[in-house]
Amino acid sequence: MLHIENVSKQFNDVNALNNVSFDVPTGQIIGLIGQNGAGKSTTFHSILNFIKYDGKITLDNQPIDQNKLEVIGYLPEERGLLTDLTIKEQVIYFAELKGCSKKNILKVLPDWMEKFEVKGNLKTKIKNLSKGNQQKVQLICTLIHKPKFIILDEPFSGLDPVNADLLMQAIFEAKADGASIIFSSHNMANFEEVCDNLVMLKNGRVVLNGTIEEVKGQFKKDHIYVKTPMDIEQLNNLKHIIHVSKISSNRYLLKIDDENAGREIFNQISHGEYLEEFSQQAPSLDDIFRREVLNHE
Amino acid sequence: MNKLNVVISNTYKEQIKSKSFIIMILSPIIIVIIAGIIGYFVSTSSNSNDSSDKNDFKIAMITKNPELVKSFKQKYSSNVIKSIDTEIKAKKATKSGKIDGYLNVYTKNQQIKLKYSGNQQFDDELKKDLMISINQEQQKLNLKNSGINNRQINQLKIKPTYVSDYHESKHNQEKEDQKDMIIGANYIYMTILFFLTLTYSSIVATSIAKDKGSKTAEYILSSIDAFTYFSGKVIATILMLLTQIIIYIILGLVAYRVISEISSIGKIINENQHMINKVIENMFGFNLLYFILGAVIIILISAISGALVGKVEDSSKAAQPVSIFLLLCFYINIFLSNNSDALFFKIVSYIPVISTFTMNTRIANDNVTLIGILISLLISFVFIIICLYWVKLNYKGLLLKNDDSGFFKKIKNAVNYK
Repeated sequence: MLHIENVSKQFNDVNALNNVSFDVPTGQIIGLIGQNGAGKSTTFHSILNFIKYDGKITLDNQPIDQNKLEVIGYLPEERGLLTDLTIKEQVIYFAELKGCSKKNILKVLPDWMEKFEVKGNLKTKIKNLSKGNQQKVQLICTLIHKPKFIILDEPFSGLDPVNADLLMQAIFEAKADGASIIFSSHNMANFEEVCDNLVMLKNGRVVLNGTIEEVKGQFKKDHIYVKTPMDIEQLNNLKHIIHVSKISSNRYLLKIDDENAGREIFNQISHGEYLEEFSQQAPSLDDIFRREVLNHE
Repeated sequence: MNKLNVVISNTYKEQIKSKSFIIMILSPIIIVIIAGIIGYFVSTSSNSNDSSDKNDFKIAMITKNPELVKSFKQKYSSNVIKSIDTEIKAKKATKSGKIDGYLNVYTKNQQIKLKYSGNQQFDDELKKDLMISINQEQQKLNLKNSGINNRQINQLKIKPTYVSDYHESKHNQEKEDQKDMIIGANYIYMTILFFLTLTYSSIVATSIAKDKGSKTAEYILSSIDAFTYFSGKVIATILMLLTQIIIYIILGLVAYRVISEISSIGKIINENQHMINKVIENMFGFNLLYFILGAVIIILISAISGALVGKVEDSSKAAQPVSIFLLLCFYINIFLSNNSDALFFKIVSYIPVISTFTMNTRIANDNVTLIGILISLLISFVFIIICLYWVKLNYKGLLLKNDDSGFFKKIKNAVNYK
């Protein structure tokens, strides 16, 4: 388990991290969410000892030293490969740096290439691969040594939906193998689908921490999704309605001022008749993200 | 495999297999071979041109002096056409192009006169030889016509003599020759050092700049510490340099054996064997130590310089600061070596890297004491230790920090990135 306790980091006059504390339990996936500059990459750099920090970070109750780095898989935000190398040379080089033997890597590399559907063979030069396939090779480099703890900095950025699914599958497989995973993303949908826990950073501070349900539970169920033949004006005139957004034809998102007013609004819209959709929910992660960003500004 | 070895072997293999390394190894050999072939053809063709030009020049000699006819026609049988012995025949032959011209040699008022008529200018070399012989003939004629007796003739033959009491010892001469050879060899040595360090400075800086620019450095640092990475890159580059030197030593020995077999060159080598041995011996003394320290410092500085580049497309510029510094060292040595006991030259011979060039020149000129050499070596050695210590503290920042500021600002930012 990764344990982060009161970690602070200051760059000149900027507080990049301010008493950040959270855990990544064994076999769990943690999503790290935050605006650009919130401190996500600084958190990862602190875990990897790229920078000195105040506070305490341990992995399995031990400080992260050079030996511990072998059990960590890291996918940096700014990704790159040595383009003059072949896929085989590149993966072996990085895997050997993680303490793997060339022989073992050569045994499993073809399976990984098949799993990620990499277009090319072991002798294909990286520079001859498409950008998407280069990203897959980077993921293979991160995961092939079967790390116990995985850090993925914006892993979904630049991936098309098919490749994003492949990555999610790989993350779930790593979790099933007992790995702990922490990843950052700007796409809230990724968190909903993948995360066990969510940590939100704002200006270097933890502002939200918990399971998706726990986080959502901290907010009122003040969102209603409804399908109705009524128009925006009619909906706006209803009691308890703060704001109406049209999602698609006849489908609206209503924001209400009282989460207990749901039944009353249902009655006003349905008049006792059948409604194809009426769903009262807590705000989406997207909304929570926006709200938290605005709240702390 | 040990992680340091992983970096070393990966860097070494990647570079050694690259086309640029193979071209770098082969190009000097190819240049030497091509220069040799061109030189051979130029020299043979100029020799044959010289001799053929001279042989092609055909003249007739018209003279009534039988002794002149005899001596010239024998000496210049290929140039003087014996069968043409009258002016009429000679004019005809010249007109028809059978001969280039004719020389009329006659005596008037006790003076030998030569008159050349022809389609082509008289061959200079032939003219020079001819005038020496004519002078001798004129001398004989003068003595004969002066009517002096043998005693007077002998009296006139007396010439002043020059006697020198300076007897240069063979030992001194050899020593001077050896010094000249060592100074000459030093220049060659410095040139080789300059080009080798320039090349490997660029190799290590570019390799690190590519890692940083392509953003793989961050991945690498999640596996090993920055100092191990730095050490791996530097050691791999030194191994490449050694590989090149070993290849050239082997090729040099083979070439030496082959050239020694060629009798004319073999003779020159045998005659100068002692001197050649001295020059080689000199190269393996302090020169070698300076070479090693100089190359190591340059590679260390280049590895630091490479980590200052932010973009992969700028990797070729990574070694620029070091290249400029090397050029400066090289030219200080070239332009000031004639005055190697000047104070400035003495001072710079204690500054690391510059000392690699300048101290060798001072050693070759024999104007530095052993203590001076040892102090200079010690300074270079301490400089390496300081460099490594600085790298240990700051290299991670250099690799991770990316900005577009100037050279010194980049270093400052990287140092502060902790």
